[in-house]
Amino acid sequence: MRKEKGLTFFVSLVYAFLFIPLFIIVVTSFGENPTIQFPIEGFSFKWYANVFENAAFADSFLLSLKIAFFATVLALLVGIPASYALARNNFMGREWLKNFFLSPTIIPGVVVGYSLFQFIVITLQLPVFQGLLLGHFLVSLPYIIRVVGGSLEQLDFSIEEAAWTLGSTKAGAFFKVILPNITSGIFASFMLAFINSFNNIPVSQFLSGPGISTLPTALMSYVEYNYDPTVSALSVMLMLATIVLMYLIEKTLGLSSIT
Amino acid sequence: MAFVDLNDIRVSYDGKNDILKDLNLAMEKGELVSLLGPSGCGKTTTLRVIAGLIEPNDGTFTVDGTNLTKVPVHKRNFGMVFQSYALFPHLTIRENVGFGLRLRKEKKNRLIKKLRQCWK
Repeated sequence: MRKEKGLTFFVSLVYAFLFIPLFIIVVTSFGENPTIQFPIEGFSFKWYANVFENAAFADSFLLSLKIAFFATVLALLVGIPASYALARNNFMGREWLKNFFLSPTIIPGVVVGYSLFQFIVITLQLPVFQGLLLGHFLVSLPYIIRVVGGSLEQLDFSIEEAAWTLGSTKAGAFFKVILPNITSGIFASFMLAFINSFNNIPVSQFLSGPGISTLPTALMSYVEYNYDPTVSALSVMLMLATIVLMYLIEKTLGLSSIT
Repeated sequence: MAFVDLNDIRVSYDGKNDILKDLNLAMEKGELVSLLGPSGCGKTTTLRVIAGLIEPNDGTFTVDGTNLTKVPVHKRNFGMVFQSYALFPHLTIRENVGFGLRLRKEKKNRLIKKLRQCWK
């Protein structure tokens, strides 16, 4: 009993450590004072209005949306066939290849960002948008492979073989039998990769260029010269959007299956 | 020559251990054949070679004199009942039963007629 009380207290401290900063951000976003302060004085929505009036935020939001969407779609186009090949075939080096695909999630973000900077900006000299797209595609791909791969590992492939015996080609069976049975995994992986790309800072920081930056990097630049609650308001909006997307993932596939 | 002939079939999954070795099996048209044996003796592997789901490492498989050893599964026109039922979970029962007929682009009225015959 004493042990359980102690554990409960410890868990409560951990949750407090995680959620108190978020709570403070939410509260400060409604303050009237032009600087971030806690506790707040007055109550106002003007900082939320300020977010929409700031052209830099609007432009960077659209850019983040485009980059996240197209990078995730590209990652799906490459990741789904890759996951299928990894799940369906037993070949030498399969586990190594799987770990290689998942490595961008293990390597520190700054290292990934710097490496991509050297390769994409210095070596390939790609334009900023294309560079950002390629960088975000590379960091989104592991999420697709991991989640879709998880769905495929739970699939009974005898249904695919049954389709072959009934006269379906391998490509036909993939589109008519395999894909319909992993749609929830595809949807969940899209959401997860999209969120990861949208919120990504290290890769965006290294690959952004003059006048072209994603929303997280625009936010960081804003904080360097301004310390008003607009930052808090934007952070709250991003948190809410992330919560909605994670809720959708939970409803379709369940968060436990992707962790 | 028998109607269905498996000649000197050899199957190995890892290149070292043979699941099937020098398998010879002849079946006449209309003959009912049962493969009996302990678990792991190669019954399912033999059926998978016949269906085309596994390509043998050596040997030939002929039907009515035609060598089907390297013919892909979907062109062999063999029906197979799977141990795990292999029902398509995303389709209705009617769509499951009609799956093969739709692939052959059966005309709708003939498809419905055949499905109704199945239900009887």
